[in-house]
Amino acid sequence: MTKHRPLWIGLAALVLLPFVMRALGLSTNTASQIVCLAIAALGLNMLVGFTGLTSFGQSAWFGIGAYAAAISQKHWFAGQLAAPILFSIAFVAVLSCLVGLLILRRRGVYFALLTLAFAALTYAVAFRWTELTGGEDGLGGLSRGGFSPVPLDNGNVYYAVLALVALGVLYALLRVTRSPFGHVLVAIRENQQRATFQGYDVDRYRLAVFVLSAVVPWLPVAVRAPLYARWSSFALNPKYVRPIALWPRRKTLVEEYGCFCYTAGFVVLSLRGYLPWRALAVWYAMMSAFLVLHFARAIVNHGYGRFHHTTTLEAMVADARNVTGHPVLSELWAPLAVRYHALHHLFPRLPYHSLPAAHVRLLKALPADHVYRTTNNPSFVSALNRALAHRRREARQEAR
Amino acid sequence: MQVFFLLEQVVNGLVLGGYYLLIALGLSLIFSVGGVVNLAHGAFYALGAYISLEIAKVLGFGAGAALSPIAVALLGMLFERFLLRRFYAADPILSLLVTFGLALIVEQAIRMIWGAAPLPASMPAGLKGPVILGEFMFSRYRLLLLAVVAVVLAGIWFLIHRTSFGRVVRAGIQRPDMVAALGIRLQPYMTTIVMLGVGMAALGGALFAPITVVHPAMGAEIIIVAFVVVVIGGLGSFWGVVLAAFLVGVVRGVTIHFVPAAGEASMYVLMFLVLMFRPRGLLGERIEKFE
Amino acid sequence: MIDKKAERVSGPSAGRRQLLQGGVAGALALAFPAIVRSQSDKIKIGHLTPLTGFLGALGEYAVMGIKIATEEINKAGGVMGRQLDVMTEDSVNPATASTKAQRMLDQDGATVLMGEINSASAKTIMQVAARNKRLFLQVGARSDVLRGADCNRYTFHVDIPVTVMVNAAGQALLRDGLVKGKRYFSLTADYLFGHDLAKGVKNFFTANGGSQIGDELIATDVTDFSPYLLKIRQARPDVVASNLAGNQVTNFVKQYAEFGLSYPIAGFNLNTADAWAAGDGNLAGIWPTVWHHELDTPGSKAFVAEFRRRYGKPPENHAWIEYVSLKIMAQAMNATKSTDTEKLIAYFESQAEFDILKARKGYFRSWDHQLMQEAYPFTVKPKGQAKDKWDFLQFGTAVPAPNQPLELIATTKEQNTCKM
Repeated sequence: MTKHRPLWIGLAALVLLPFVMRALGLSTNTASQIVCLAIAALGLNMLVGFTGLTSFGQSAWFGIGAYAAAISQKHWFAGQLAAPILFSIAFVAVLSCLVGLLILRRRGVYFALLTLAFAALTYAVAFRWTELTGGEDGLGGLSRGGFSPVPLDNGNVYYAVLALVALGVLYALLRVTRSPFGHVLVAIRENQQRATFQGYDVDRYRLAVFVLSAVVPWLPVAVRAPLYARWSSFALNPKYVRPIALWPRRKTLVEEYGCFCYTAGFVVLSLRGYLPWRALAVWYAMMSAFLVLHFARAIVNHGYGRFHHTTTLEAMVADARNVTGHPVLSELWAPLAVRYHALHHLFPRLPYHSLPAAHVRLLKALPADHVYRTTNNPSFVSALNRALAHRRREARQEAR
Repeated sequence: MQVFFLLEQVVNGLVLGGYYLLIALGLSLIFSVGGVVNLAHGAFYALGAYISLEIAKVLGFGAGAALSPIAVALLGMLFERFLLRRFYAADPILSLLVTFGLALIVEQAIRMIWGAAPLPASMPAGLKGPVILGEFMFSRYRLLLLAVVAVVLAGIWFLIHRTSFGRVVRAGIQRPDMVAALGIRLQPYMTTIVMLGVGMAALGGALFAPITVVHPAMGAEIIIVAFVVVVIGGLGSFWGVVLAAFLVGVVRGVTIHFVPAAGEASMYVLMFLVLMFRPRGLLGERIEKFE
Repeated sequence: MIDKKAERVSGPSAGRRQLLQGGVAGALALAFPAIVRSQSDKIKIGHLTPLTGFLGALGEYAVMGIKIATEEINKAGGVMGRQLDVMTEDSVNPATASTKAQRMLDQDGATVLMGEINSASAKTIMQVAARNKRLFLQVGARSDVLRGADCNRYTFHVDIPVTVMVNAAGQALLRDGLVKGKRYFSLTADYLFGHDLAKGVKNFFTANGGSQIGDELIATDVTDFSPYLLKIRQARPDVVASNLAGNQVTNFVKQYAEFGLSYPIAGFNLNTADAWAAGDGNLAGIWPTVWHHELDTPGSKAFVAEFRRRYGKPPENHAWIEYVSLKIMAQAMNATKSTDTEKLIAYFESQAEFDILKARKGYFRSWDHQLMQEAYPFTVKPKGQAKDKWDFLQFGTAVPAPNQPLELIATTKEQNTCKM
C-alpha cells in the first residue's frame, strides 16, 4: 500500500479535482488545465528534484510541445488527436536531445542561466515568427478530435481522458525513480563527483533526464560509440575497430559538430528554397563517386597484404603497385603519375612528375628477376583483380 | 548609402548600450561583491522612475532625477539588511529565486499604489530635439544620458580602483576570508555597494522615464536586458560589463537594420553563444561556486 | 463454520464506511452547483476585458465606465424589473478569453456576453458565442475582419472599425493637404489589429493619390524605437503614419518628440488614455477618436460630470463605450421583454436607434452588425493652452457632417466581405 502511495494520492486528487473546482466557482476546463500543468511539474521534478539540475526552461518545452502538436494538427493531421500528440512527443524528444547536448556542458548556475536564455529565446521566436505560430494572435481553430465513439468536445470526457494520461505518466515516472536509473540520478544530485568515481557516465544520465523531463527517454548516445569505433566513412577494413579509449576527444567533437552543421546547413538551405533538392542529390552523388574512386584507387595502389605478419624489405616493396599501361586513360583516375605508387613508396621524396622517367630508367637498369618488376600491372582493372584475388586467398588462409 | 545607414544604427546602438550599462553595472557590482544574483534590480529601476515622477511634480525634472536615486538607495539599504544578507553564504540559486519573488511583489505594489495606467512623463523642452553631426542624427537627450553614464562610470571606476574603500572591496571579491582575518568587517562595504548598485538602477529609471512608458511592468522589461549584458560581459568583471553593454546595443541595432523581426531575439542568441563557448563571460573570471 | 466465514468476510471497517458514505454525499452535493447557488432573480451578463498587458490601462477605464452604467440602470429599477449582475473578468489573452467566455455561459449562468478590446481575443469570443448560439456585444475591438471576413450573426460591434478611423482622420488629413501626392512611412503593430490598420491606411492613401514608401512591423513588446526613427529619417517621407496600438503609441510619440523629427505624424488609432500618457509637449499630429470628453451634448456632459465626481479624472473613450453598450443592451432587453438571443438579434437587426450620448443616434447596420455613428478627428492645442494634464487635446467637428448619412464613413459592400 505504501509502495504505491503516490499513485493513490494522485488518483484521489484527480477524482476530487473537478468537484473542488466546481465548488470554487471554476469549471472542469480549469481542472483540465491544472492537470496539464501538474504533468509538466512532474517532469520538472525529475530534473530539479531528483537530479539537482535547476532549470528555468520547462515553460519553453511546454510551449514547444503545444505548438508542435497544434501546428502538426493544422497542417498534416486535421481533426485528429493521437497523431499530433505523438508527433509532438517525437519532436520534443529530438529537440531536447540536441539542446541538452549543448546546454548540459555547463553546470550549476551557468546551466540555470542557459535554460533561462533558452526560455527567453523560445518566447521571442514564438512571438515573432508570426507565419508559423500566429504570434500575438495565437493559433485558433484547433479541434480535440476523438477516439470514436468517444467525442472529446465534452469537457467532462476530455477531463477523464486527461486524468488517465496523468495517472499513466505518474506511474511511469514512479517506475523510473524506483529503477536503477532513478537511483543514479539521486546519486548525481547528492554528490556528482562520487557518482563519477563509481563509474557512472554522469553526462549520459544528465542528458537522459533532461530529455525525459522534456518528454520520453531517448538514448541516441547508444549509437554514437559503435559509429565511432567501426562505421567511419574512411575505414577500408571492415574488421578494424578504432580504440574507444581515445574517445571522445575535443577533436572528434569538433568534427562531429562541424559535420552536423555542414549537413544541416545544406538541408536548411534546401528547405528554405535557396538550394534545389536536385543540387543536394547531385552533390551527394558526386561525393559518393569520388569516395568510391578513392577507395578503389587505394586498394589498387596498395596490397594491404601484410597486416599482421613480420616482413622483409622485399616484401614491403612488393606490397605497393604500379599501373603502367594506358597512359592517357590512367590520367583520369590517377593524375600526375599517382599510379606509380610502388615507385613512390621506394622513393617518397621524388616529385610525382618525375616518376614516369624514373620508372623507365629503373626498368632499364634493374635485373629481370628484381622484385620491383612484380609490382607492375598493365591496367587499373588487372591491378584491382590482383588485389582482390590476393585478399580472397588470404581470407581462405586465415579461415583454415 | 546602405553602409552609412548601417553605421548610423551602430552608433545608435552604442548610445543605447550606454544606457544598458547603467543598469547592468549595478547588477554586476552586487553580484561581484556579494555573490548574489539580484533579479529585483528591475524593480528598483521602476521605483526610481515612479519616485522621480512624484518628486518632479513638486520640484521639477532635474530634482526628480537627482533625488530619486537617493531615495531608492535608502530602500536598497533596507533590502540588503533584511533580505539579501541571508543569502551571501547560500546556494546562488536561492538568491535568484528570492529576488525574483521580490520583483513580482514590487510590481504588484506599484500597480496598487499608482494604478496600471501609464503615467505621463516629460523632459524639459530644452532637452528635446536632435543633434545633427554631418549626416548623423542623435537625440540631444540621449547624448546627455550618455554623458551622465560616462561620469557615473568614471566615478565608479575611480571608487573601485583608486580609493581605499575600493581596495577593500576588491580584496573582498577575491578573498573574503583573508579580509576578515585581517580584521576588516566586510558588511558595511557590502551595504554600500548594494546601495550604489540600486541607486544606479534608479537613476536609469529616472532618466529613461521621459522616453519610455512608465508602467508597473517596466522593471521586468529591463531586468532581462541587464541580465543578458552581465552574463555576456562576465559575472564579476567591470570592463566586461562595459564591453558587453555596448556589444548588446550594437548587435540589436544591426539586427534591426537587416532583419527587424529578430531584433529582440538577437541578444538571447548572443547570450546563448557566449554561455556555450565561454561561460565565464567575455572578460569574466572563473567562479567555482557557479560550476 | 459458515457463520464464522460470514463474519470474517472482509469489507471496510465501520469507521471507514462512514467516511466513504459521508464523502460521497458531500461530493454529490458539491457536484450540483445549481443547488449550492441559490436561484437568483438577477440578469447575468458575462463581461470580459483585458486588465493586464499592453491594453490593461484601457481595460481599467472600461470597467469604470460599465460600473457607472450598471449602477444607474439598477437604481432606476433594473431591466424588466430585475437587477443586472455584470460579471467582469480579465480576458488576459485570446486563449484565456475563450475559456472564460465558455465558462461564463456554461457555469456562471450568463445570458449574453459583452466587452473586449483586444481584436484577437474578441475573435475567439465570437467563436464561442457562435458555437453556443448566444449574443456577444463586442464593445471595443476595432479590427476590420471581425466585421468582415470573420463576421457571424451572433455578434454586434459597437466601436468603430479600422476603416472608419482611417476615414475620420483621413478626411482631416486630406483637408490639410497631407495625402495627395505624398509619400508615407508607417510603423505597424505586429498583430491582427495592426495589420488591419496598415491595410486600411494603404487603401485610403492609394485611393486618394498618396503612396507608401516603407513599413516596419513592430512587435507589441518593443519599447525602444530609436532604430526605427533612424530608418524613418533615412527614408525622408512626407508623412509618418502610426499603425500602433496601446501604450506603444505613447512610447513612439514620446521618442519621436525626443528626437525632434520634423515629418508630420498621422495616427489612425489612439485612445485618449494613451494620448494623456504621452503628455503635453510630446503628442503631435492628427488622430481619430470615437468619442471625447469635451463633446457638447447634454448626455455626454452628464456622463463626464458623474465620472469626474467618482474617479477624479475625465473618462476615456473606452469608459464611454462600455457605458453606452450596457445601456444599449438594457434598452434591447426592455424592448423585447426577454433575454433570449434570437429576439435580441432581431431587435438589433431592425436598425433600432440608440442614444449614444452624441449629437446623432446610433443604429446597427443589418448586414454587418456594425453600429453606425459619428467619429471625431483631433490634434494638439498650441503649447501653453492646456489647463491640466488632460486638457491639451484639440477636438475637431464630427465626421460625417450633420446633413450627410452616417454610413458615409463606414465600410462599403466592396470593402467588407461579410456574409452571414
